[in-house]
Parts: sequence; structure tokens; C-alpha cells
Amino acid sequence: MRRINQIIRYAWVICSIALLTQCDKPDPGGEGQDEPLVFTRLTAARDTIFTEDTTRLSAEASGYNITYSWWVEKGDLIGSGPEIIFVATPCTVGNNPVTCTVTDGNQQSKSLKVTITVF
Amino acid sequence: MRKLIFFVFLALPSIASAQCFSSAGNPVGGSNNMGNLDKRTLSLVAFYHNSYSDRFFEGDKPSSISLIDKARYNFMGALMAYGFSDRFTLEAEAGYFIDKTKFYAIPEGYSLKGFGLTNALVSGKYQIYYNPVKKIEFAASAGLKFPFSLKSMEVNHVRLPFDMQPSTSTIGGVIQAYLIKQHSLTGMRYFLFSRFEANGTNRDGYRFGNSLVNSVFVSKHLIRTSMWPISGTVILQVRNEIRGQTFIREIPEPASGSFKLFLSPQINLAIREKFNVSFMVDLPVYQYYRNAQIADKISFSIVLNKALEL
Repeated sequence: MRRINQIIRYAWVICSIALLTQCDKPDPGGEGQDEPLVFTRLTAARDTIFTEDTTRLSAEASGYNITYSWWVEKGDLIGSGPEIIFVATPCTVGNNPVTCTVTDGNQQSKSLKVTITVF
Repeated sequence: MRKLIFFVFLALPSIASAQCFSSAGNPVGGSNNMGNLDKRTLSLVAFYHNSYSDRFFEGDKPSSISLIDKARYNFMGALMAYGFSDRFTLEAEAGYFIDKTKFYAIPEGYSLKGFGLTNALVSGKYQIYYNPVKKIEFAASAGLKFPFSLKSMEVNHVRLPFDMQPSTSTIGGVIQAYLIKQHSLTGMRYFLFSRFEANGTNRDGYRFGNSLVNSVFVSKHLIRTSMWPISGTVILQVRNEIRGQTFIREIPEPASGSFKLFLSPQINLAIREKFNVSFMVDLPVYQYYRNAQIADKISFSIVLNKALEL
């Protein structure tokens, strides 16, 4: 009897965890799924900087369940989401196009570029 | 049976968080059993490597660049070698970066962390010459290194800079040569070791510079009593590392390539001649970098080795 009680208790804990985890999952037919993906703009606080300097990049987009992906050939990108920091490392002298791709929950994606010039 | 000769050579990035490609494209991390294994001998090696730096160099002088507060990496790896015959040994090695982290001075307080599997290497080693009387051995090996993923690593959908990537994301080749001379009476051993690595171009158009590493090892047995199950060997390694320039879409990257000289004291404890523990420190003696790159400062390694006769 004690063993059965123990099993029931464990099962209850596991079910509770499973239910709580379920809450985080996106609703497949959820609200806003029909919202179109719009990538309004990608801007840099300063688009001309010196090495050893930084500039903040911001992406403005709307849509359903958006993720922001960032890519640059040279230099470091710190952070994640709609705002990141570009770090002008010594190898970035010249033009550095930074690409931001927004992808929505329907797997639609759009990209924009902003060029940071480093002296 | 010939005694297993175990000395540590770690072909690791000089400083994994190196700025602007001073690491040689994250070469395979590994260690080597110097010389060939006997037939049906299996050698298992596990190692941990830690590297730290807090300075830039331009040429052979410290630079005034203060972008990075410090950079470090923690790396662990494994190597498995098997003697198919007394002349041929097959080796496989792989490693994992627990972290490759840059701590920025500008912007202050920020850090960037990479991690993940490095390239794996599979190579065959052949004993070209062995003289049991003069105790001289010459062996050479060739291998293919390959990534576990062809895609560059991203963290939170942000692609890591190339000096933070755990692997080259492309295939490459490795050629190694070993020359070993032993003096049984004095307990001294001398090794010459060379390793050349060539890298392919990855999907993003990056081709990490080729590297050539030459090492000279001199070793001396410390404890030789038969009653004591542990014997010690002290080893001094002098290592030269030459890193070629990195190419991005076939254009050479100006801030890449280096020439370095290291002194690496090492102690190896052999427990009952079957199990080895090694401790090693890498001290840069001379460093030259093309343009500004993060320079090496200090690193250390712990290596475990077990040999099995199957």
C-alpha cells in the first residue's frame, strides 16, 4: 500500500511538470498566427566608427512569434533579439555589412542589411 | 614488448579566444603517443586544457589595444589509438570546448561565449624505421580532420565570430612526423616532432591559415626503483608554431598569421607502467603577430593515458 502511494505521488509530480511545460509551448492555432511578417527597418545608432568602438543595432519588425538572427563577416556581435552591439575589432577596418534576418512562427523570413564603416 | 612511449603534444589553438584569427582556425586538439604502439595495444588518452590571455600584440611587442579585458578557453578531448601491427597504428581524436570566452573592456562588462565540438581527426601512423639496438625510431602519419557540423555555430541566433567558433566547419588534412632516440643507460630520450595542418574553405568562405608546429622534447627518468609503483619523468619541450594567414573569400586577412616559440615543462607519472598522468605548462618565449591580435599568455594541461594489451 505504501509503495502504491509512493507511485501515485511520483506520477502526480511528473504530470504537474508535464502540464507546466505544456504551458510554454506555442498554440499551433494560436492568436496572431495570421499576422503578416513585416520587417520595417534595421538601423545603427552610428554607422561610422573607429576600431575599438561599438555601435548599437536595432531591428524593427512585427509578426507572429518572431526570432531575430544576426550575421557579420568580421567583428563581434554581442547580445541577441531585436537589439545587439557591434564591436569594431582591429580586423574590421572598412565596410562591414551586418545582416539581420527575422523569421516568424510560420517559417516566413525577411532580411535587411546595414553597413558599419570602421576607420 | 616495447615500452609504450607516452609524451604529450597538444595541438591546440594558441588562445581560443584570439582576436582576428590569431588562433590557427581551431585546429584539432589532441595529444600524441610518440612512436608506434605494439600490435594489439590500445591507448586511451583524455585531457583537459586551459588557456588564458589578457593582452594584444602587434608584431613582437605588446599593443596599446585594450578592447578585451581577458580571454580564456577550457577544452577537453580524447584520443584513441590502436596498434594494428607493430608498424601501423590507427588514431582517432576529438575534443570539446567547454567554453571559449572573451570578456570585453569595450563595451565594459560584456562577454561573448562560444562552445562545442571541435574537428575530429582520424589518422594512420606508420613506423618507417626502427633500430632496436640503437633505439632509434622514425614514424610518419597522415590523417583527415573533419567537422561535426558544416554550419557555423550560432548562439541565440547570433553567429559567433570566427575566432570563437569551436571548429573550422570544413575538412582538412594533417601530416605528422616523429623521430625518437632513447638512451637506456642514462634514462634520457629525445624526440623531434612536426605537424602540418591544412584547412579547406568552409561554407561561409573562410579558410583558416595552415599551421606548422615543430617540437623538440628532452626527457629524463626521475624515479627508477622497482619497489615503487610510480615512476616519474620530467620533460622539457621547446615548440615553434607558425600560423599562416586566414583567407576570407580568397582574400588574405591582414590581422592573421603568427610565429611563436614556447617552452613547455612537463611531468609525467607512470603508475605501474600502465597508467600515465601528465601535467604541462605552456610558456610563450617569443611571439610575433601580423597586425594586432590577442597574444598567448599562459596555459596548462592535464593528460591521462591508459594502455591496454588486447
